[in-house]
Amino acid sequence: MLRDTTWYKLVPGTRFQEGDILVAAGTGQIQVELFAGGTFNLGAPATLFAAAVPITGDKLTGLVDLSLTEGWLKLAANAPAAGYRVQLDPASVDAKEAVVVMHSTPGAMEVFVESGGVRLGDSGTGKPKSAAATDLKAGDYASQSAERPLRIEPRAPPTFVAALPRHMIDALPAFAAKYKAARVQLVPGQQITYAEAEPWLSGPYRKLFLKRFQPRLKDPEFRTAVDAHIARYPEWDRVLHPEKYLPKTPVQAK
Amino acid sequence: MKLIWKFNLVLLGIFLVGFAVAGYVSYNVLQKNAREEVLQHARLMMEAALASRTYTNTQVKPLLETQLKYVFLPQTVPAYAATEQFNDLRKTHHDYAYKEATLNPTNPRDRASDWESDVIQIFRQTPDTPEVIGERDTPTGRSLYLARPIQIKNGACLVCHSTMEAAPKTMLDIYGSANGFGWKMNEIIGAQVVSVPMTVPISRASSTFRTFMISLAAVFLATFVLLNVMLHTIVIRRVTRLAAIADQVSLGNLEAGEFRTRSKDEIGVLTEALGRMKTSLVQALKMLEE
Repeated sequence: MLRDTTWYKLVPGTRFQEGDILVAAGTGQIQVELFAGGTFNLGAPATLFAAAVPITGDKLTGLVDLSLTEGWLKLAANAPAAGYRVQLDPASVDAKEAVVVMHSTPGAMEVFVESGGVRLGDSGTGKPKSAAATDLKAGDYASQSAERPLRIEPRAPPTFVAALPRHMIDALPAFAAKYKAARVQLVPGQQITYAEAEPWLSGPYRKLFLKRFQPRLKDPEFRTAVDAHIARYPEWDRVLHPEKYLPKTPVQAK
Repeated sequence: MKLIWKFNLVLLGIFLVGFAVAGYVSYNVLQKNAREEVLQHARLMMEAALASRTYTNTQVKPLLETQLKYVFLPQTVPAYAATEQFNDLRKTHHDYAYKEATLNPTNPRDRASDWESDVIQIFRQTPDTPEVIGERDTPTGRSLYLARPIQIKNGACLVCHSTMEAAPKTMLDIYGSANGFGWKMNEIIGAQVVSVPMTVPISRASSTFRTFMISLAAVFLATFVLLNVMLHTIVIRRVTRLAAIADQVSLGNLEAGEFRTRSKDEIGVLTEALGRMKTSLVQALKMLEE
């Protein structure tokens, strides 16, 4: 898990918070249960960014915004007031009370609604828009890729089921009560490298990461790498070279 | 006709009648018991099948409800579970069979054969019939079958069997859309049929019958021989001797022998009486000569 700019190895009972990036590797899985409502499970290999988790006390006060950049995600949304939005590429999934399985690969996505209903919308990634908001009901399967427009089928195709992480075919179990009182002390690992940060610097949430990754500029290696690719992230130019953006002093007339 | 022949003729008659009656009664009882035993097996199998169905419906299916949304699992179908359980049993008991014979089944293997269709028609025409029991010949011998109707009493069944549109798409992927639809509430759509081989219990009953009859014949024979020996020793021989002496005495040969006996039975009493009679006769003859 990446929190701020530091990697941590997840252990059961870890407290999840807004801004965390979860990376499930190997054959592992990560399950997040919000006491405020809803559970999601990440099947390796997968990466998920919690862009917004607005919780006050034990209640969701707004939309939970998640970004699944790759891999499998099973979401059991139970937030009738606020709801969840999962950003995929090239679509987004809005769910309030539903169980839905999503699969994201660069430029392609698959969605299967196990129960309830969800709404497919534009991903907000800046890429060409997909079909207008489309409602999916229980049993519907939707897929879309750069080469293929949105297609909806009344059942999950065998290829999807065969590729699905085995545990996702069952209902997500509940572990939260077991860890409710536990306080886990995470051990900090390495700092994020430029290679690891690059997809986020150029991704749809680049503005969030502009501020978040600035402390890493103290690392000359990171700074040099960002500076070398400044054309991709022009907003970083102001941070790297603030002198360029100082107000120009008027030239005094002789 | 000699006494022994009369006696043996009556004894043989009694034995033959007794043998025939005992044979008839025991044969029927043994055959009836064998059939009851087979029927009991069939009922037990039927109950086991019902238990398997109930277990699948109440305990297995709820656990797999989520998986059913992704892929159809026939293991969650009670009929499939019961049939598979018995298929496993048949690996060691080849002649036993269980089938949920259906007129319009989803799974082709459940399609009713001709004779099963006839049984189903009995249930459809007389819905109050709780079960049908019958016998039929199979390649492996005579077999008893017990059939009970399958009636749609649970609306949940119609989810898969009312219309193709309502059926789970994952089920259609496996079984297609040609069969297994159009079922209606309270309709008798088939029959649970348990077949149990009769060969073994019947042959066991026949073997028991044979043993019993041979034993009975042996007892009869032994009794016959013993009675003859006793009759000859106790009655015939003594009476013959008395008759020979009495015959000689009646011809005037008073020295023919003595009527002597130590026995106190009826023949002994008769012997003593004859002895006294001879003594009286000898004295009477002496008095006449004097």
